[in-house]
Amino acid sequence: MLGADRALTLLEGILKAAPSAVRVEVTLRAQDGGYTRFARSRVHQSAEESDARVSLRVGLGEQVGIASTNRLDKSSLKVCMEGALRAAEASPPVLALGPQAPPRPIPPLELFDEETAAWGPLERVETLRGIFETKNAGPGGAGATFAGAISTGKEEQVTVNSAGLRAYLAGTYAEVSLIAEGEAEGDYTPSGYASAASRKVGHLDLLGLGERALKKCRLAVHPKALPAGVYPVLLEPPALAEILQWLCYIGLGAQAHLDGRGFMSGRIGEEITGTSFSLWDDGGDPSGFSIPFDFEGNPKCRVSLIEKGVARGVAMDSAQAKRAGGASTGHAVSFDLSAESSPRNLFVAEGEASFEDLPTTLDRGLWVSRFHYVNGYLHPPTCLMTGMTRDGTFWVEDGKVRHAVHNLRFTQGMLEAFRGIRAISKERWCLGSRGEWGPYCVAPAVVLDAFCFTGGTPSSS
Amino acid sequence: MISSLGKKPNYHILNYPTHFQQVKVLARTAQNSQCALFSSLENLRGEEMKREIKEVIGAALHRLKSRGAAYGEVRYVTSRWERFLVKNGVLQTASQGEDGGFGLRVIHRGAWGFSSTPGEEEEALVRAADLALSVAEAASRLNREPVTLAECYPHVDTFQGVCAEDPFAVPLGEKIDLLVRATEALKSPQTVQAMGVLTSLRVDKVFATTEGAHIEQRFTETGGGITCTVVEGGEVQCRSFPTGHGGDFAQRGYEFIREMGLVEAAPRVREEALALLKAPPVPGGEWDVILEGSQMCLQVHESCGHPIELDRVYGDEISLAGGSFLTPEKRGNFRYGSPLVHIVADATIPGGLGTFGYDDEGVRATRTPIIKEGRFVDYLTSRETAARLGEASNGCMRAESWNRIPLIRMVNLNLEPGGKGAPSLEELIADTRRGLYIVTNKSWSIDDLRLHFQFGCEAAWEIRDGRLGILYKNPVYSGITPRFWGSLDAVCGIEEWRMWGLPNCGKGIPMQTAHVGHGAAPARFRGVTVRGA
Repeated sequence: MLGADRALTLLEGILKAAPSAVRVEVTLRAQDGGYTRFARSRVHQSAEESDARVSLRVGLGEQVGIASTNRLDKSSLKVCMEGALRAAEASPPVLALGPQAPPRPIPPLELFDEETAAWGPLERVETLRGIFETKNAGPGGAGATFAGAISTGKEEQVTVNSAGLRAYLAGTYAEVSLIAEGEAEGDYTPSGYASAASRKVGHLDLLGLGERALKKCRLAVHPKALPAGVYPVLLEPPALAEILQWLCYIGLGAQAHLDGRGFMSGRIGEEITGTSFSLWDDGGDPSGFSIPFDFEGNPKCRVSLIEKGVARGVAMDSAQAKRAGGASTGHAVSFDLSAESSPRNLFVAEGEASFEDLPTTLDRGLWVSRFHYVNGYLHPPTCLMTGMTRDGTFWVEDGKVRHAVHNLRFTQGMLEAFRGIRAISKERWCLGSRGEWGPYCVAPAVVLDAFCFTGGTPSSS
Repeated sequence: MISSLGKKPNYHILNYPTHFQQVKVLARTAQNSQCALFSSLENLRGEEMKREIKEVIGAALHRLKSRGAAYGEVRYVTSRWERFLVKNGVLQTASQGEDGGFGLRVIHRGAWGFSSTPGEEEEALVRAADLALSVAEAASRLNREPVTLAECYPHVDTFQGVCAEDPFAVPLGEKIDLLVRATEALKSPQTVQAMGVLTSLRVDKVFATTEGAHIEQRFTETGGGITCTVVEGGEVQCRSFPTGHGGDFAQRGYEFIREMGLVEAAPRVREEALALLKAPPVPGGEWDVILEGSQMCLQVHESCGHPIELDRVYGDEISLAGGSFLTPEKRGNFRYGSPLVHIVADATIPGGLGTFGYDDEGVRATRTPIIKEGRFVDYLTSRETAARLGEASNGCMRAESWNRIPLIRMVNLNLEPGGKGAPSLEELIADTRRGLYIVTNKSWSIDDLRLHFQFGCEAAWEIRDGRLGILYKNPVYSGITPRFWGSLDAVCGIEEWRMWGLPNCGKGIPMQTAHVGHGAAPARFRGVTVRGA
């Protein structure tokens, strides 16, 4: 970690080294942390890492060059600046460069936690010991093992530009994903999943997550096959979050929307889902994984994406905002003008039902814990997606779990599915993305009237 | 603990290819200031810097040994890249970057530990060595069984991939102009996104171990493609070339880009995209299907490549990427597909995106049969997983970068072309009474055991009485891995076979993106379930 003074001094040095008439934006991102991966209740990968990367964008009128490096010595930064300038000089106009982020106060957010910053490999391992011993906590756990990952660390972002912006943040992160696995039953292994993310490791009930995964694993034994068909479905927060992640890729960012490729293109103001569904992005809400400004240094605005079923807006960086004739919403993910800006801090409005009561809304239906390998490129205008269930799929009848079922493939238009929301839980989980590419998501569980399952996993033999 | 499995270097792998030679290609160096965005490693640092790197690596290895590490390795990796993206004839991105640092992996007290540092000073390396040891020490508190590695001969060698024309020496303006011309040719009143992208990458690696290995390697990659997205009346369609998701990639120089013919292909790509706007959806049902080469590449990748990764089989990746249906007792006797299915993992093919001299454990590149005449015979392995089988590693460990732990990754996983008398694509179509010719991937999904897959593609043409007919939009086909491969009844011959490069194979936590290759030719499968999206 560089600290605010050192980081700002370093980046101001880069600004000073640029020719005076050149527009310059510089962002440094640094990370200092580690992760411990485990499988079969054994640590198989454990690492500590630190790195810092400087990215810079220069503008000569509408000619733009971008360069980055993780070498922070003076001569390497000079080479980086020269590379960006040469790229700009050799490039035709890009036309799309938006205004630089102006200097402004940064909203006070509590991003840094001393306890989390102090965590290292030993703390992660000792926590895992407690989780691994969960299996002895009750009947039916014998033979269960755990797999997953715990990540903890510190991060910094500093953004400065030739318009006078000086923005710095330092934060911590803690994220865990856990699978409890039982004894194999042929090709099928019963399993249960739990995950959580926070800026404060103390906010994660790590032992409770282990118990939750194990409880689900115990329920998932002796699955029965279920024929393909349309069923009511209860989606737990991790399942819903994966769908939302794909909605971000295919239409909640401005690039696809402005091109006319997004599922909300030409539909702003139109009802596209059921009225109980509201989705927004808010980097300033501390109940999620808050962050005050984006890669360009613009403040993260709260963006209403879908409000009571009505399409409201999309996330934009400065270039897309220029194209749309508006202002950046603070969703730049890099200086690359072709990059798809995207929501990074999603929230789904909570409902009124308690999570425990949600199964009672199902006379007959499926309870899905988690999806695997969802893909939303089938037909983006209707948000047609496919994917498999995993880590606990259950048949519910008369409001009670009757038995586990073999994993199923769904192929479903999500806008259609969200038109039939039967219930939403009041409990929401903050789910992370450090191990993957998606947004952080504060999501409830939902019950949908109809969800199309198009096949199942049979035996390999 | 290092096992004493075997006493010989791992030369036991079958058919060690004669073309595995250090490829000595005199690439033009990036001297032209208009071309060289970043100075290359040797220009910037020179031989003296190389010696210094060797010295600090030596100091780190000495530290590991003196503190009692059972095994230690240091990887020094530097990379530089360029990326150009043009949309609708207008430049969006001219970006470049460089990256470098050290990764240290140790076995200490029976457990793995890893640390990384971008610092190049001896003190930074020694600190990183101490940190890796303490990471391992922490892990050892929980692990009852010590890590065991299969033996590996400590090679001292160099390797350089093929690169006839240094991509970093080609003027920027020429690259941008190529994309401008290609995307201009994709324009139409319905075109909302005419996109072209070019990427170049150069990676230099130094790898050394406490066992005495010292390997230096250089790789140059290029890739790119074009995509035409059209919209009319709420319908969105796209066609891509040479394939979707950013195009095709190879471990070659700029000659690979020149051979693509992006500008020449653009008018056909545009016309096919426009035709898809008017095309009906593919009728659902059971069809005989011919998959074109790039879709075969992804079919091999998802349904053959991932399930043979032995770390997945042992459950190491279960929490994110999943496991595998190919459990160890299936090795040598499981019927994976029809007798026409021959798949090899070949890290030795010049130009393949998964080609190297040595993997990130210092294991020499191999050509390993995976499926022989439809029977599953081998996995992709690491030194640790191979030790569990009592064998030597076949060299498939690679890390995305200096700051990542190596994982078992595909190399070039190739479906071998049909043998003597195998049909051309034209002959295969002529031999099909009623079927679909399906092209270019659009979506992919497969379950956590790699059994139940579904692929969506950009287009399909009906085959009727041996001729191509109606164009259909949004074809989606699905299957169960061994049943699907069991329905393979023809693979086109060597004339239709080519390497494809995927630069975006994801695995691990944190997610690591591997660059892998797949050789494939068009092939026919009988009775495939197809539906329109």
